[in-house]
Amino acid sequence: MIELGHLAAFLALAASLAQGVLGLTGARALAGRAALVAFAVMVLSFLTLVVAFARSDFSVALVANNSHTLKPMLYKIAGAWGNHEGSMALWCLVTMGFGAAGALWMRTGRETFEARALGVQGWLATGALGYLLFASSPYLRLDPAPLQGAGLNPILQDPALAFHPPMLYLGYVGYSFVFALAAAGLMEARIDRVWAKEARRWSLAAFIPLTLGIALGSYWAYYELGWGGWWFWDPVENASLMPWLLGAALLHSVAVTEKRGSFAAWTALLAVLAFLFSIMGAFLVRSGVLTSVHAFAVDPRRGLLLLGGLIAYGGFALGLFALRAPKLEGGKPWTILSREGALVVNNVVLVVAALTVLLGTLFPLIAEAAGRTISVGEPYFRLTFVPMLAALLAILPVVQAWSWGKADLSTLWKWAAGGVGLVVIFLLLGVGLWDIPLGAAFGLALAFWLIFGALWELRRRAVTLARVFRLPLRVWGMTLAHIGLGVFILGAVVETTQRYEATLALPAGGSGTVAGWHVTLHDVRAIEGPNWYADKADLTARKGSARAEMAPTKRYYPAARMPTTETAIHKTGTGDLYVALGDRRDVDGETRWVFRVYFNPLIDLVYLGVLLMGLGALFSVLPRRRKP
Amino acid sequence: MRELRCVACENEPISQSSAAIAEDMRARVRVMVGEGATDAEVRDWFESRYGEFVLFRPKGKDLTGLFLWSAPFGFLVIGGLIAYGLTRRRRAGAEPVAPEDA
Repeated sequence: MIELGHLAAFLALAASLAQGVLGLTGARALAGRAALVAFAVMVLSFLTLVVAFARSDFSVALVANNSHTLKPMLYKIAGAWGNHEGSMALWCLVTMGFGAAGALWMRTGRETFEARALGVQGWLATGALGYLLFASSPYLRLDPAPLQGAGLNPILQDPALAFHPPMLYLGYVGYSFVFALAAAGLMEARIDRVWAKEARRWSLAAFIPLTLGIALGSYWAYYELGWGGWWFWDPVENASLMPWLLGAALLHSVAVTEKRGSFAAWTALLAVLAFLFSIMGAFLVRSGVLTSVHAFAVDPRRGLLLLGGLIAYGGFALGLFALRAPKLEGGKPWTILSREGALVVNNVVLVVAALTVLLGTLFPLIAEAAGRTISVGEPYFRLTFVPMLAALLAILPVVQAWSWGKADLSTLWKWAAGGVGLVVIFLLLGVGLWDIPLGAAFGLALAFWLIFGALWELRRRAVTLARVFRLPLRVWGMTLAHIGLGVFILGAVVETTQRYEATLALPAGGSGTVAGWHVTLHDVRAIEGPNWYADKADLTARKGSARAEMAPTKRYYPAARMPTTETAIHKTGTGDLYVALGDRRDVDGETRWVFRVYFNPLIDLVYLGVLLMGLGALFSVLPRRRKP
Repeated sequence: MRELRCVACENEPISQSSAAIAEDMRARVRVMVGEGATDAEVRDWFESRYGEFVLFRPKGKDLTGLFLWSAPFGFLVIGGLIAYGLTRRRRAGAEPVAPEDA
């Protein structure tokens, strides 16, 4: 069975190679057919892997190392991509999926260009599949086959995490096709409005799953790791944030190219960089050069190969860029104080923010080479990354109304007065009345400023209320995404500055109070699941007339010899009461259990904001409504 | 406590770690704060004992540290200058055009 998959993967390799060669010679129809064949056989190949996992076929080495008969079916299947080899197979599958989608749905009317894009995509698929088959093959047999598998890393046994990698990969690898479009456009030195229209759709197609994938990963970290927070500036998180920032910059820049023909070279460069940063993310995570809590399958040799691929693709694309950028045509003229000028600022800040994340992530390595061991964490990003983006977002509502070419500045003073007024109100309320930190007051002002600005822009464009619903979907998409930013900031500011946390050590029958919640421990019982056993605490939390039964659990997976935290979260209208069970302690002959209790106010807004951004991107990619 | 790294874990601040050493480090912070130590004094004490590795907020005292802290703003200035330089070429004959959609 798995041999069939192995064979199919070789067929897919041959088809991708054919796609690469045919595409670059300009044969659009043939390259498209090769892309469809490659995708079809790769689907078959991936299915044999999934089936091997579903049937717990331990004669396959990968299944034996990463699965277990007692696992629930969902996690047996998710186990197929919950490891290095399987996730690389998924990477290949998605690369070919985008190739096939491109073959079917590219609509530029330029045959040679489309053929070349498919060709480049074919070479990207060939590289990924070559790496899979020759450096991390998931198809190998084990003889003799063991009777039982080693189990999936238990912290990955979770519904959010079963779907997080496919989502994230759709995003990362989605940028491969954007890369291919940029390379093909550069080959003919034609990055114009037609090109931008096509590239924008694919950039959005990658941005949406990337956004949702990051949100899923963050939500998983929130309730599974038991640390009470939603973003830890961990290298793996940073690796996904960098392509996201570049992707966001690209969306704005490609829109300028589409509407005005300007920024052609810059847009092409961003399109290339978004994918290079995606591969770099894979390299950082898989090579083990950075320590991280959720890196799995670490192997220096593989890291070296990924680095080689990164350099090869990067060298090719950037070389092409250097040759062709001077030949690209500029668009319509514009001054600095214009919509274009504002979007330049957007792009500079987003790219510098991505570089800052890169620097903070890699700096411990650089310092180590220089003989110093340091850690770069949340305080660094709070003091560099956050103010940079805050400044960018502060001007967003103002410049959003500006025209292309040259802005009308006569209403600028009203905007300035409004902004300053809002800040003063929140400073008075925040510092004077609510007693919150100065930064938090600015943050709240910014959140409301963004939400207000997005709605105001909608009003300005619609002129009358009746016309709001007849605005193009793109405008709705932009509005939703910008409201999402405001909602996200509101949640993030309140959660990070007003979070309340405490550690309680309770005996059975004991109680403590956290953030007004009176928590009583009834008892702690031992329970058993399909492939784990656990200590389950039975708690009652009370505040006024509100009452919640909570059961935080600590699981132990004998197959993997690892404990996991299953937090108990009680949602209230204003935030989450969050309890994680810690260790057992014996103090003076009495057994006490350690609980970490958090109150995370408005944390749902963090995820709601990100979802709104994803939804906004979705609205922007939907086809235009026909004019009545 | 979120600014101190647990010495036994990978990338976890002591406020989140469940390791025994993190509990000891938390206790130490509480004692020091109870004795009236400032945040800076607590950080210095931990640095002298465990090395700079425990600080999540790296110091900017020497050349490497200064580079780390100033680079983001440096990038911003450089990026701004490049962008400004490029835009100067495009000014002639700009006409305002209202955006019809996003």
